Amino acid sequence: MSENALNRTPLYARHGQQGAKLVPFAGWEMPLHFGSILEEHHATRTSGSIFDVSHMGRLSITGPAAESLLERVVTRMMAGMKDGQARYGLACLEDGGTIDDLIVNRMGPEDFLVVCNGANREAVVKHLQVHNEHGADVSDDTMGSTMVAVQGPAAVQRMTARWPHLAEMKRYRCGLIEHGEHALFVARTGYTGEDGFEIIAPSIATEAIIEVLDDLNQHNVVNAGLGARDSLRLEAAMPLYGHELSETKDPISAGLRFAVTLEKDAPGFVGQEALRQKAEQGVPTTLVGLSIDAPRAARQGAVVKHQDEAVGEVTSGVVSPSLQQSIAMAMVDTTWSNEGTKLQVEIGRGVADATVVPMPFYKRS
Amino acid sequence: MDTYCTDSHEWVRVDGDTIELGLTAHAVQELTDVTFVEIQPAGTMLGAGDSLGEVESVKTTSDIYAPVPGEIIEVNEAVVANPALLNEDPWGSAWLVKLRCPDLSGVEGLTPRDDYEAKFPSE
Repeated sequence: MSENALNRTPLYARHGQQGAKLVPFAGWEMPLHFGSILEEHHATRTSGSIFDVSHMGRLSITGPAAESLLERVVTRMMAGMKDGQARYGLACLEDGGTIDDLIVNRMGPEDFLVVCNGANREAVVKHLQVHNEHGADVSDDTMGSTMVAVQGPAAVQRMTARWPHLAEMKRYRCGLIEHGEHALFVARTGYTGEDGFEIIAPSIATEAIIEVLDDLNQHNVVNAGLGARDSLRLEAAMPLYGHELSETKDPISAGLRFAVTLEKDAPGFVGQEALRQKAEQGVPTTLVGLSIDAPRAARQGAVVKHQDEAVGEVTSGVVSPSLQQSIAMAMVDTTWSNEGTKLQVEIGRGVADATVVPMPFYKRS
Repeated sequence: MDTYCTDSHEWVRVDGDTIELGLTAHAVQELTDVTFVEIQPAGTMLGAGDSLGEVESVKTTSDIYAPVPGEIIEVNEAVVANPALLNEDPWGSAWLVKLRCPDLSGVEGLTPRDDYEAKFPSE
């Protein structure tokens, strides 16, 4: 895609005013940072931050056939999901490879909102259409609306002060907040390892969402970009499509067994049989967390070795700002995936010692 | 002393037969917060275009290149010990390395700092 074809979010002008460094990402012009990735990372953990995530796909699935369509396409059970509940799951190929990871929000009996990765939005829509045998309404509501993540203790404090009913909202629940004449969607979800909310405003309510963000800025919640979002999610060991997940990386290998319901009645979800076999028979490669004895980061693709033999590769790595420790996720031969296993990772011109450690690397207290 | 910049965003300052080399403010801004600097040890002989070290940020890792041939005679250990100095003073105290260069003719082909900064401004 050429640069001049990049999409701009409704917050584009605000980003300019706030000094964002903008970069192309998934076809959008998005903030990488507003000055310092490290400061935005620490601010998220200790006070709060705002991320524009309007590039993420927002798909509305409605009608009498909505539940059965999602039951067929998403790895999690839709039946029994209550209104106001959100579930993390995946859309898979028949062979178990991953099309995308996503969150399904149930707004009503026949009303679902699916949030998926920006780069995979069209693939997910196509997958939904292919399996839409009973005519659910699938509409892509991404363009024109705004989606933000407000994360960290100060963000939660201010949001719950303004909308007291949010204090009662549990993790992975969703609902609405009123702002003047507008209703904004809110879910208690995020991608940072902190408590927080994700908010969606239709295009008609752009001014309202900007007011919410300006107000948060007045209450120790800073603007943050994709750089901090990546280091935060990595500390929290949350997968990123294209790194830990792909069409050739299935959710069982990626350690996401919790997000796969293998007990669905026939026909089940697309990929269910393949994933059931992987879960029962074991997978040849497994995602592990590595603590690396080096002052620097292992990058995606770096070779992981066991006694000079290549046994896998790094999928994401960073020097953790919170832990002051080089950490990585890596897909390795399952033989060498047990906690405490001593491995080596190629970094720069050399090789560094690494140990398999439990994930997440960071857990909020 | 005049400062010249390379297409790969290093700067050099010539002093007799030695040059001081660092990264431009634009380069450092593009890298974001620098978390790691590694420079080859003093005594290392470099050809023009050879990598003399690496600089790493939260976001990415980049090589640092010598624009002219030379021998590393001094490494700025203060920056190696505290890479964040690069974000604070890239044109000055956060120089990276000094090279003794037998042939400085390659410097003539580099971009004067003013012209470089007109093309690659920094905040």
